[in-house]
Amino acid sequence: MSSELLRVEGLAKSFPTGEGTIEVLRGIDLRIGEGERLAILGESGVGKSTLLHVLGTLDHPTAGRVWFRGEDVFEKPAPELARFRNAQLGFVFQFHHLLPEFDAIENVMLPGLIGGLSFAQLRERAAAILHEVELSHRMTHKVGKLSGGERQRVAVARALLLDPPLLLADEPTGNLDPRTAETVENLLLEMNRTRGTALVVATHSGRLAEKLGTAVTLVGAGSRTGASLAVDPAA
Amino acid sequence: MMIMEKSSDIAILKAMGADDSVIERIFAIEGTLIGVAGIALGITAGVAVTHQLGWVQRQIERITGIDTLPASVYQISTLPADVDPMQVVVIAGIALILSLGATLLPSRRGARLDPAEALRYE
Repeated sequence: MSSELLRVEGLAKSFPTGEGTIEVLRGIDLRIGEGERLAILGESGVGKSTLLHVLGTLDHPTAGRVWFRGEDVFEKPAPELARFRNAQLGFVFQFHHLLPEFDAIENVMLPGLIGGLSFAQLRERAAAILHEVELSHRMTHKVGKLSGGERQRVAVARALLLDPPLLLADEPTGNLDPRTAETVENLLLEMNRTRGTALVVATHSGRLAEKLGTAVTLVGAGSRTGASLAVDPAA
Repeated sequence: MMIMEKSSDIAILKAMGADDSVIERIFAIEGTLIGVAGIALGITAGVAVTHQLGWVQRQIERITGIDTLPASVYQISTLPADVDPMQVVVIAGIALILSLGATLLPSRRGARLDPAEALRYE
């Protein structure tokens, strides 16, 4: 078994509303090793994105703790948490969320620019990773000129620029046609194999879950009861 | 307005590790640049119109057929205009301070945006 990368214990998340509190997640326990892959399955609205947001420290849990390489991430003050996200995590979303004002290579360079790395060094690194995702010929094209699949590959390249040990992907192929989706799925798996990046992917796709090898299902539709994790019997 | 339109971009920047101060700086710089561009445009147009006030007056009279300063009513036939550089500097300074002030509050609000909430409603 690989050494522990991420551990979650007793995680809960609820949201206050005008009509009371909605408990979205409850009693989530999870462990992911370095370089491992995990699919999070579940119906729409069950809390998959919320779980990824908490794992990615974009949202704080209502209860429970998240350790990353042995450190309790929510103990960190906000600026340190931002640096942690920059260096240790990569995000890929259903909608690519690239910045339309910039071209492909500039979008890929963004995490490095935020991290304060030099422009010239970053440009070289971004060009190399765009080559890896087979988009060398599209480097200087604006986001609007790229196809859906190309945009998502740029998003993957951006997430992996700083070689984070963990990539969190929220329905990364949910907005793509089956053939393009398969290309992006294979790209994620290849990055896992070649770079050793651990993958946590929230998805509806049974095919992607099967490829990832390990899957858990969030059960108990997002309601006042809260969703909890169950081991997927199919996995 | 700009902050609301850019909420998902702010969320993504935060996901990539930008902290609140970076987001605040981006919007403050963008707002200031817009303000400076507006001030430069305003000063250029204002000085140009002041220098060409006689021509502007003649064009208005030609188009409308109205004598804008009839000698029987006023003791002048053209508007006296003079550019005072000190006044231009003071006005530009006040405009810059106002535009900076109008930028800071929204920048701060944008920086405090909850990324998870912005992404949730995408």
